[in-house]
Amino acid sequence: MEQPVIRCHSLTKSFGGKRAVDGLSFTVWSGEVFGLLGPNGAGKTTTVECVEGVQRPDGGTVEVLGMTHCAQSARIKARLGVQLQSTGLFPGLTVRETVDLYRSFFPRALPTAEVLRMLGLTEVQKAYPARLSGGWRQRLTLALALVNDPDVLFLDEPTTGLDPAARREVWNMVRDLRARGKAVLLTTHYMEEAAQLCDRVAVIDHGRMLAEGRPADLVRETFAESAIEFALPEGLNPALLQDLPGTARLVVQDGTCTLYSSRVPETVAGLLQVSREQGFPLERFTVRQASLEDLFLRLTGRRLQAETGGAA
Amino acid sequence: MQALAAIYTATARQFRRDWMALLFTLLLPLLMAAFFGMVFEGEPRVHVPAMLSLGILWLGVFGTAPPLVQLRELKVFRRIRATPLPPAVLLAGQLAFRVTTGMLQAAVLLAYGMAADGMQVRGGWPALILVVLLGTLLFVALGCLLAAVARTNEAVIALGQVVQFPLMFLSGTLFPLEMLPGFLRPVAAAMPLTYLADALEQVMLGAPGLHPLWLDCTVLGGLGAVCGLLAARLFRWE
Repeated sequence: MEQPVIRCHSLTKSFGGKRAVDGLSFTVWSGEVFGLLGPNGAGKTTTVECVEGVQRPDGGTVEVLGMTHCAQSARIKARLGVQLQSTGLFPGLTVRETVDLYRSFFPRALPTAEVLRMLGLTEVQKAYPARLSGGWRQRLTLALALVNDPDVLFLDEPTTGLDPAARREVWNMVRDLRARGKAVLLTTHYMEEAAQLCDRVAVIDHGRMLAEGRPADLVRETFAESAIEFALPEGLNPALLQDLPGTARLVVQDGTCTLYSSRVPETVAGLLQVSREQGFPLERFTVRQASLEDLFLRLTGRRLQAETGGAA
Repeated sequence: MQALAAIYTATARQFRRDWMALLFTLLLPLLMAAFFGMVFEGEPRVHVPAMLSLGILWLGVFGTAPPLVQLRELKVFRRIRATPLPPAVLLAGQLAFRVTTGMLQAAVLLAYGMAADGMQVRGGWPALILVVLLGTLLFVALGCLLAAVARTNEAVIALGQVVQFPLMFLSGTLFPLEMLPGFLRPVAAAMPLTYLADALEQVMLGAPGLHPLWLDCTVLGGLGAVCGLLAARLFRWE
């Protein structure tokens, strides 16, 4: 049976007069992976921390597993798994000692050996966190989120800095947890991750909800069109392309020109004609379905991927 | 209880792998006691109480403040707040470990004194334990206060130096108060470390004190309470 696990209603939180979260409402159900998408400073982390009970909201209500943090914070936290980016690691403790320590914080915990095995950490159990690579540290923080076999899991950019194989491993792990009826709330700026892993996503910026729903539905609702992309040649006035047949919109960013079109063959034919007449080359030319990335760009005016560099 | 023991063990492990904390709390007081014992005339035991008070000062300034700031900088405290562990247990585990470390410092220096010239605890064991406990609580609370005020690792070490120098030189631990110029003597007499050294000298050596023992203990306890309350008010987990 699906049940509401997290219920946020009109959540607000300000820091020094600046609204980080501004009236956010959403529900996460058991057996679902829910993704929060947004550029840095959008309010993702603050939202997640209000739900975790690490921050106290200024207004609105947060209900987790049918309880509120004001009344039963310790009981809620006993059933939460929290992964923050490479944090929570004592410098003087080995992998195994760290897992042991976090186990002691919970009334009920999985055996250390099982947690280590689950995340493939057995071989590095005697290493210190500072000696581990980013991927291993990420696994360790994930292990700490799983020591209490939680009902609700919070993952903050769980695959940032991981190689593709490790990323897939984490995705499989998250899918396993979902199959066991756990709810997962994750933040990410990898569009592929959101599209592959999340049952539903919420796009937020400036602490407000811009869109919420299944990734495919959201894209379909917003874009009836496909995207035609190519490198914008130097000296070409993009306005020339505005009136190509079938073109709904034209976006130029970072030297890439994107035409959203509902009649791709006609638009491409028109584009080729302009290209011949004006004598400009069409480089890095692609036609693709509109994606979450396009949705994000349209809603926030920013690309999600570009955030990766700044976040590290 | 299980969490408290785990925090205690984790703190001990972190401490054991922290060369600066180890050097200042355990090795340096012992080496200095041995050094002074060889250099100056008289019985080696007379240096034990002063070196123990320095060790307890360093336990707070170098053995408490930097590790706490480090845990905050690494966002360990922030992560722990997302678990059901009550913050009081986290603090209690840290504190309990440092109280036992203070006792260990006393034991190490006493063992040296006993081996060097048959030192005895003149004032009795209960009084010694009480004074070491009050001194440890005071300087660990001071360390927590430094960790509350300083924002970074570098800042807390610099701040520790600023605090430890006047305490060290104006307390009669490195040289007798009588050697100080007249105008500094009242300042030195009011330093917290002076009260600890004075109390330890009375209890360990049976020396005539600067102040009555009960006054020393009251000042140590009172200052400890003030530092502890201030630290509790100002301490930031993140």
